[in-house]
Amino acid sequence: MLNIEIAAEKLFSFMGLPITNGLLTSWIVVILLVVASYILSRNIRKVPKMFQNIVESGVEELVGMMQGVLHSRKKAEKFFPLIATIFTFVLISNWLGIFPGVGSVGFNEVSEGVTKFVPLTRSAAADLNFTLAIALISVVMVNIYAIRELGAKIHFGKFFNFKGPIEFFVGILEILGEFAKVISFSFRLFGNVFAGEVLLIIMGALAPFLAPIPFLMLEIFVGFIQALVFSMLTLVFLSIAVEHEAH
Amino acid sequence: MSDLLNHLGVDWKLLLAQVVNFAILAFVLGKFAYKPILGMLKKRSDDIEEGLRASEESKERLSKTKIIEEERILAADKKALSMVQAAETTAKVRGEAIMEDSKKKSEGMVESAHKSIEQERGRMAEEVGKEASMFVRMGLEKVIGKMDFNERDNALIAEALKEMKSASTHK
Repeated sequence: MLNIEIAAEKLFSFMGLPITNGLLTSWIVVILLVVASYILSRNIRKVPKMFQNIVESGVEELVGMMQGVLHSRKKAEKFFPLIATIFTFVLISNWLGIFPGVGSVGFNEVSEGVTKFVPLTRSAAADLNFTLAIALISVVMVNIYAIRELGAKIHFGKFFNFKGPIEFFVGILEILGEFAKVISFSFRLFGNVFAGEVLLIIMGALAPFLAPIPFLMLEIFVGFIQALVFSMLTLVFLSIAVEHEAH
Repeated sequence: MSDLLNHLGVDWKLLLAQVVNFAILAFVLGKFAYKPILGMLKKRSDDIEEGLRASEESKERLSKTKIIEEERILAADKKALSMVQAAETTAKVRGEAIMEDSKKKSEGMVESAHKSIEQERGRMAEEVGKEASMFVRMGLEKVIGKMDFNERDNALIAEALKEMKSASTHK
């Protein structure tokens, strides 16, 4: 019997903090990226080699895409750390989630007389805490950037508008919109990745050899697309927020 | 709501842990990846722009130098031509002067040679005359004592002539 849990499974507790398999994967991703960026920074050269070349192409591509949305290279470089971190974190988490061993290596736990398999790791985005955290960061950072660009009065004037009943109602809708963004952000990514995990588990259980390969390919693609969608939506919201009142 | 969140595994501690993860990652990537890479991209782009600008400048300078070089060569050609022309004119004038001078000198020399020849000839004729008279006198002295007057006169004359002839042959 396949055991599919929506919530990330708790492995152990450390000083009151429940360590789940989703959090563990998230830490692994952070460590991998920190080590990779440290290696990159130590070996950065004017004439780039293999690794630097790949990173530079990715950075140039992303900055170019952002420049297309923001119509300014300067702004693109300013917002780049937020967008690029969201993209990289989500992408590597998604791709790490389909690595062999992730979700399949674990231990059996007996709970209330029922033995269930607890994987040591699980795709980080298949844990709602991860997607919700990034969604919150995204929305909060959009608001912070908007305040920095336009000023608190203009920015909050968008939410609390007392010029008339229609404007007031629009302001309330704007506030609701911010919460909706968090929910849509987090559940879109969580839903896609969790569904992909479930699909792979089911395919692996039904036909363990060869059959899951196309689905693995699909998950690589979905992982990339979801990372891109998350970061690009953040960018679009950011672009609207910092230019909204400027017109 | 709380049940739903619990069912979905949402826990504020885990949420905070994930936020901290993201913050750490953003800080580290910003410091070790984005900043150096964007800096390097900008530096490379600036270097390329600078290189292109320098190349354009060099091309422009080269074309200007070529123009200046051509102008200088042209000016030098003109100068050389005028110098050659001036030299030719000067040489012609000087040649003519030298020729004139030489002509004058040679004429002078010829004239003086003529004069000295004439003088020499005069001197020689004088000397020949002196010698002839001396020989005639010597011949006469020898012959006069031997002959009668008429015969002697004729004989003297013949003798004198003969002496003169022989003197001139000896000479």
